[in-house]
This record gives sequence, structure tokens and C-alpha cells, in this order.
Amino acid sequence: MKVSRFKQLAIGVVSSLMLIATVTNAKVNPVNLSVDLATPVLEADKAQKAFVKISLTGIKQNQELIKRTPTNIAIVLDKSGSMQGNKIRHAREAAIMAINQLGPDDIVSVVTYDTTVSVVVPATKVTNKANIADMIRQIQANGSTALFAGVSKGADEIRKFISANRVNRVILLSDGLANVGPQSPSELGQLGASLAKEGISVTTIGLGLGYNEDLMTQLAGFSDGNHAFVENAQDLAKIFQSEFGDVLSVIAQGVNIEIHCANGVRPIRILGREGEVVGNKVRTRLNQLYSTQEKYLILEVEVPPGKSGQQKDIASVQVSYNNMLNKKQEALSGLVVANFSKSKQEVTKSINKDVYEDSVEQVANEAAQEAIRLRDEGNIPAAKAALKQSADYLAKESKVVKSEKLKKQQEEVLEDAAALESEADWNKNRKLLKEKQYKRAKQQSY
Amino acid sequence: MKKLTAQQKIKFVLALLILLPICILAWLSFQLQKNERIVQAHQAQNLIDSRLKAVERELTVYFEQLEIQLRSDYQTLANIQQSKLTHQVRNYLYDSPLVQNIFILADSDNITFPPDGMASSKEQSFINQTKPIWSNSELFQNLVSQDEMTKVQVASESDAKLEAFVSPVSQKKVVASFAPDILSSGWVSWYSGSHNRLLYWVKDSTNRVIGFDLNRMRMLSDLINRLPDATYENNGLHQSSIRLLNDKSNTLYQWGSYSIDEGKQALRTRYLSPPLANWKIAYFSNKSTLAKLSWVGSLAGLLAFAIALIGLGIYFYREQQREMFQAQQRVSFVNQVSHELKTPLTNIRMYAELLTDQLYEEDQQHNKYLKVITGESLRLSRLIENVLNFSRAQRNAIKINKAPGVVDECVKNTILAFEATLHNKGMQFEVSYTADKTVYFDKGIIEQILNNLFSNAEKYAHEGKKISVATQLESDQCKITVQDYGPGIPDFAYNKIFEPFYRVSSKLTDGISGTGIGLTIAQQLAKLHGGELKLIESKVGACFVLSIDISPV
Repeated sequence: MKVSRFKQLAIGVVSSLMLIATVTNAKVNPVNLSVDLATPVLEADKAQKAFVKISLTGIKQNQELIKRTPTNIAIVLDKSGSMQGNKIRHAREAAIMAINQLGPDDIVSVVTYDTTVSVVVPATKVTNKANIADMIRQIQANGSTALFAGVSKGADEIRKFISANRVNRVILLSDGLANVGPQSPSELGQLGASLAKEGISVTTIGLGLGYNEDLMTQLAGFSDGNHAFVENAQDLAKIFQSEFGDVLSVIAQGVNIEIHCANGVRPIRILGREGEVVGNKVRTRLNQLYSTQEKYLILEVEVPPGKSGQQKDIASVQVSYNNMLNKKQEALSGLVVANFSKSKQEVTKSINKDVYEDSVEQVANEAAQEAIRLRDEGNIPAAKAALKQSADYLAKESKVVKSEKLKKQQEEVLEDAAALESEADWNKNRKLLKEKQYKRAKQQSY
Repeated sequence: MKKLTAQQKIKFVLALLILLPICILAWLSFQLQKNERIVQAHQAQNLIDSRLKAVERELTVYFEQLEIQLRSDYQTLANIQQSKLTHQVRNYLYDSPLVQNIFILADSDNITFPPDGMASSKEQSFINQTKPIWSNSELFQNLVSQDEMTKVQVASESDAKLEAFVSPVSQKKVVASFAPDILSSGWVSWYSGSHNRLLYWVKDSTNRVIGFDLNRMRMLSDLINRLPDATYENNGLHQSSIRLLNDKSNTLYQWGSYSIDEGKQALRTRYLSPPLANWKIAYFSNKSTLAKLSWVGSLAGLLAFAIALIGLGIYFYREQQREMFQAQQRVSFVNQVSHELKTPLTNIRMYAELLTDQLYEEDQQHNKYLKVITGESLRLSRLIENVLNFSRAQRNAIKINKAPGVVDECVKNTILAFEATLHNKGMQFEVSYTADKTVYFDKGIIEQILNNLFSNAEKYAHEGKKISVATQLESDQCKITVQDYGPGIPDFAYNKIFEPFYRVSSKLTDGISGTGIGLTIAQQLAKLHGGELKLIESKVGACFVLSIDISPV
């Protein structure tokens, strides 16, 4: 009996220790920061360009132990005349289905727009789903497309419960061209950028072949939301599902990234994302990070000549974010250094394959965006040439690092070059390309 | 012009009676309607105006609050040490959803932010774009003395179009308590590319000016969020809509339940106050709905009234027709009867006279009876003749047959026929004959007229005991005066006694039977004979003067 009592005590102590261990484990930083050079060893005595990858990864959380982040979502539905029939029916169903995934701690609002804007469901806690669904079912399509006002009112509904501890997001569905109020991509981009500063991101879903993909990607891009192209209305439910899956897995928000280039290193551009470059400082933000997903940005820098054998700081990175698990502001920092060597072999040998691949991928992606611009100008040969050049670049670089991934991307680029050709399918192909480029640039999970 | 028959007259009068009130009512209701519409339109205009004013106020409040916020931002930025300024201002811009650029002037020419030579490309392009603004020191003059939002005309050599406004003093007072050293502030509306942008500037006592360049899309979004959405409960707009329009008259935002057709004109437009001075709000609605509805109502009322009137008219017309028909039937019945009575009556009189002739002198009693029978039958004949003449006169069927004769003879004969009855009532004739020449006249008609006059005297003036008759010849006229000594005719009845069926009602005449057509017939006959029958004033009783034309045809 005594022994068994001791055993019991021992088990008790151990299990309580384990509990403490899990608790401390939960407090462990949910975000990993890594700052890497694609080429950690640079050629000596030569000014050159280099790519720095700043990567943030959400660590997989133990779903049973951790309460997920509550949401604050505004679903903004286009109900203009072109949505009549199947489209509006599927949109209603998708919205209802998505709301059914939410719980009583979540907040949702539904805004519709045509010529005017209606707040169908004002921001409310998702306690009475049947009631919300009833109100959504009454939506009928008619009129023009006041997209700007729709997003504005959606954002205003978000503001009623805006909190750093919630995922604040507008989900915009549109199937047509905005024709009431501001309608240019840059104007909607400005609005998106402004909303991002408040922590509101806008996910844009383009339905069918009638919407303006530039406008929708700009709005999503500047506010760090997602973008999806849905050709058939029956696929809407799937997209809403993915979007809500994304939203429900947010683990960090309000991520501010500051990069300080050291030792005369000059930042040239940020690939894929918007950012502010002032002197040797680069600043950008991500609205949210998702569990088990990597989000990164590639910074192209110009490094002044270094002597062989020398080691130099290239850039230091400060990241601050709002930890959604403990609702606290947390910070991370990283530093990337480069070595200089005269040996080309050493330079090639040292290449960080993953970082190199991602850098090349983003550079090619930028080139693909340029190709669309050329195609828009009607210059199909130039656009094709740009993609061909990009494919050549990918082919060359894939050999350098023996990358299957880049090879695949090269094949894709060649297919895209063919897609530029067809006049009849261009509208659809352009939307597909834009979506693909957007997802690649922002590492969208779906 | 063709003379209207009584029937047509009645129809005409009835139609007039129906149409006149309808027309008057229609006209009145039209006038009322018109007035009401003016009043309604006026009220509607007032309502629209107050709505638009409320919208404008809402937008003005936004800018007031914005100014207060920007002034407090100014205060924060102004207190930053020079060494940390650039960094802090950039942080401010990085986090501010509404402000996208800032410039800071230490004094009129010396720009301290963005830092010279160390500006980012975005800052540099902002500086280049706004050079006409910040290099124009006049723009930030101290304008505290001015009371209202003032528009400052700025001459600018570049293509950037500028309009500047100074904030009203009232707002400055609000802000003065926590920002005592702010001298002046205002708005500059400027163009970059084709876009209208807004810049808010604040100047303090050290001549430092900070200009805030607003994210125009964010500003618009905020303005939209201040305005109601389309749901009726939220905006109180039933069957109407309001649009917010920018300087190029493009719709920025619209709310209300009325769907506006392409090219539809606004009922009312209102320009906003500065700094959005070239933006406007426009009210749209379907103007005619209200007026139309009330028209339908009054038209229905009018119609109902008209139908009621016409119904009433038809009812009266039919009633009148029925009465007319009945009267005609009665007259024709009396005619028939009278006609039928004539022959047996003549026979009775004839045989009675025959019997009188054959009676012996001594058979006085029988003679007396027979005289009564003859007298009464004569009376009956006269009555029947009256009735028949009356209906003939109505049909204009009496013909005058003039024949040579002596008037006195005719008068004598008539008197003879009456003598017996008058004698029974204790009356007698007093006659003076002076018409003993042969003239042309209708014996029957003179007899008829005298019959009527004598029988009236017999009936109403037997108290006077005598009837004076005088005849007189005057060139082509013959006058016969018949005077009784009874109670006479009251003044009020002088003109009426010749009207058909009129009977003077008094104690005297009550209980005396009569048709009331005797004098009418007499007068009509006199007129037909080219003369007249008049009642002339006399001291006692009634005096009738009959004059007839006695010239040959």
C-alpha cells in the first residue's frame, strides 16, 4: 500500500509537471522568424545584387488546447443585375454556409450593394444563425455596382467591433465592373491600404468573367487579404469554405516588419508585396499570419564590394505582432550576414536552395506581371518575349540549384505565354493569371 | 328663332341645373387642387431642402471633427524634437489611415519635412506636386480676423489648380482651449492629375505650417459611412433618392429607395460648403405621384356628384313627364266627356223649350219647373262650352267667324237667358244700350264672354242685387261694360284673376263651386276678337270692360 501511495504521488507530481510544461509550451512563440540570404557567400570585390528572404511561419498549434481567434467578418455581396439567377442563389448559399461555421463569439455582418448599399445584417454576434440566414435569403439581385460604397459600409460594420484580438475582415464578392463611385484599381487600392492600417483586410472574390481583376487584386493586395477567381457560381461555396478556414486559423495579427540595411547595403525593391523604402530602411506589414503557413517577402538589395574572407551584416529585421493566443504584443528580431569569397565555387556551393528558389520564383512572378501589362497594351510579341525571357531565366536558375520546383514554374510560364495568344480566351486567362500571380506573391494558402 | 316647346324648355333647364353645379364644382375643385399642389410643392421643396441641409450638416460635422483631430495631431507633431522629427512623422504617416503625406514648413521658405535630400521617392513626388502650395506664403496668411469660411483666390503659375479656405472662427474657439498657439488653419483644394485632393494646414505663432494631405479615397469612404444606407428605416426616404456627386458630377454615393433613370433631372441640387465646395448633393424623386393621386380622388368625387345630379335630374324629368301625361289624359278625358254631354244637353233644352211652348198659360207651376230645367241646361251648356273652348284655346283651335249683326241684340239675348236665374236670386239687370248699329262681330264669342261675366256676377255678387250693363260703339270698337255691386275683387288679385284655375280665396267664395277658367277663356276670346277684357277700378263691386274689334274682316 505504501509503495502504491508513493507511486500515486509520483504520478501526480509528474502529471502536474507535464501540465506546467504544456502551459509553458502554449506560451512559446507561435511565430518563427528566419532571415536568410539566397547566397550567403558573396563574390568578393564586386558590387552585386542579393536577395534577402524574411520569412514568418505560424507554428502548428494544439487545436484542442487553444481557443481559436474570434472573428469579425463583414460579407459584402454584389447584388447588381448581373448577379441574377444562379449567381445570387449560390452567393446566398455560400454566405449562409460560411456563417454556419462560426460560433457565438464571432461577429458577422452582411452588406449588399447594387446602385445603393444596404446593411442586411448589421454587425452582430453569431448566436441566431437561423435569423441571419433568413435575412440573407431575402437578397434579390438588381441595379448597378456601387462597389466602393459596399466595401466602405462593410468596413464600417467591422469598425463597430474592431479589435486587435479579432480577425477583422471584409469578404467582398463581385461579378461586375464597379460603376457607381470610384472604380479604378488605384482608387480601390488606396482604400485597401487605408483599411490595412486599421487592421482590416479585404478578401476579394471575383465571380464569372465580368469583374475587374486589377481592381480586385489591388484592393486585396493593399489590405493583405486573399483573392480568388471563381468562374462558376457553384464553386463559391468551396471558396468561402477555404476563406473561412484561413480566417479561423489566424494566430498573429498586425505584423510590422522593419528591415534595416547595414554597411551601405541599399534596398532596391520588395518583391510581391507593398512596402515603404526610405533610405536604407524598409517597412511593410502583414495583417495576419495563419497557423502552419509560411508568409515571406523577398527584398532585393545592392551590396557594396567586400573583401574576401570578410563578414558583413547585410540587414537586421525587427518584427512586432499581436499574438492572438495570449493577446499580447510580441517582437522578434533577426540578422543576416554575408561572407565574401573570391572562389565562385564556394559562392555556388553555399547557396541556400529554398531561399534561392523563392527569390527566383518571385522575380519571375514580377516578370509575369510585366508581361500582362505589355499584353494589355496590345503588344503580344513583347509580352511573349518577356515570358520567354522569364522562362529562360527560370530554366537557367533551376539548373543552378537543381530545382524541380523552378522547372515546373518554367513550364507554367511557357503555358502562360501560349495563353497570351488567344484573343477569345484572354479575359478568362487574364483573370486566371492574375489570381495565380497574386497567390504566388502573397503565399495564399488556397 | 324657333320657339321652344315646354318640353324642350324643361329639358334645357334640367340640363342647365345639372351642368351648372358640376361645372362650378369642377372649377372650384380644380382651383383647390391647383392651390393645394402649389402648397404641396412648396412643402415638398421645404422638406427636400431640409433633408439636403441635414445631409450637408452631417458632412460638415465630419470636417469639423476632422479639423479638431488634425489640430491635435498637429499639436503632437509640433512638440517633437527636431532630431526625432523625421522618424516620428514617418511613423505617424505609417499608422494613419487618413493622412498620406505631410509637409512641415519652419517658415515660409524653409521646409523641414520631408527632409531635404533624404526624402523617399513618394515624399519627393509629393513635394514636387505641392510646391505651388507650400511655396505660396500668401496662402497661409493670418486670417483670424475673418469670421466666415473664406475663399482665397490663389494665382498659380503651374497647372495645379488651387482653392483655399480658411476655417471659421467658431471652430477655432473650440480648439483654442487645448491648442492655444494655433494662429490659423484652413483647407486647400488642389488637383493632382485629374483628381481633386484636399490638404489641411495649420499655422502657429512661430510661423510654422504643417500641411496634411488626405487619402481622398479614405475621406470619401468616411463620408459615405456617415450617410445612410439604402434601407428605408435608415434614411426616411420613401420613393426618393439622394446622390452625392463630385466636381465632375459623377455619382459617388447614392441612397434611398427610388431608382433613378438615366438622364433624369434632380428635383433639387445643393452645393456643399467648403472644403467640398464643388461637390453637390442632388435629390431625386418622382414628382407627379402625389399630385396624381389627389386628382384621382377629386375626380372620383366630382363624378359621383355628377352621377347623383344626373340621376336626380332624370328622376324629376320622368316625374314631370308622368304628370304631364296624366294631365293631358285628364284634359282629354274631360274633353271627351264634355263633348259627349253636349248633344243630350241640347236635346234636353230643346224639348224643355218645346214643352214650355205647348203648356197652357195657367199651368204656372209646370212652366216654372220647365224654366228651371231650361235655365240649368243652359248653364250646363255654358260650362261645357267653357271647358271645350279652354282646351281649344290650348290647342289654338278657336276660329273667329265675324258676321254682320247688332251688338245690342246679342247682349239682349244673353241677358234673356240669364234673367230667370238672376230673378231667382233676387237680382236684376240695369241696361243701357247704345250699340244699335249693324257691325261685324262673332256673336257666339260675345255671348260666351258675357255668359262668363254674368255667371261670375251671379255667383259672387248676388248681394249687390243688380248688374249694370252698358254698350257703346267707338269707330271700329265696341265696348261693353259689366258692373256688379258685390264685394269686389281684392287688390292683390287684380292681375291674377285672368290666370287659369285661379280662384280668389276668401270667406265669400268658399263653398262656391267653379272651375276657375271662366275669366281666362273670356280674356282669350276677347284677344282673339282683336280686343281685350279688362278689370277696371270702381268704387263698389267689380267692373269689367270688354272691348272688341267690330271692323269687317
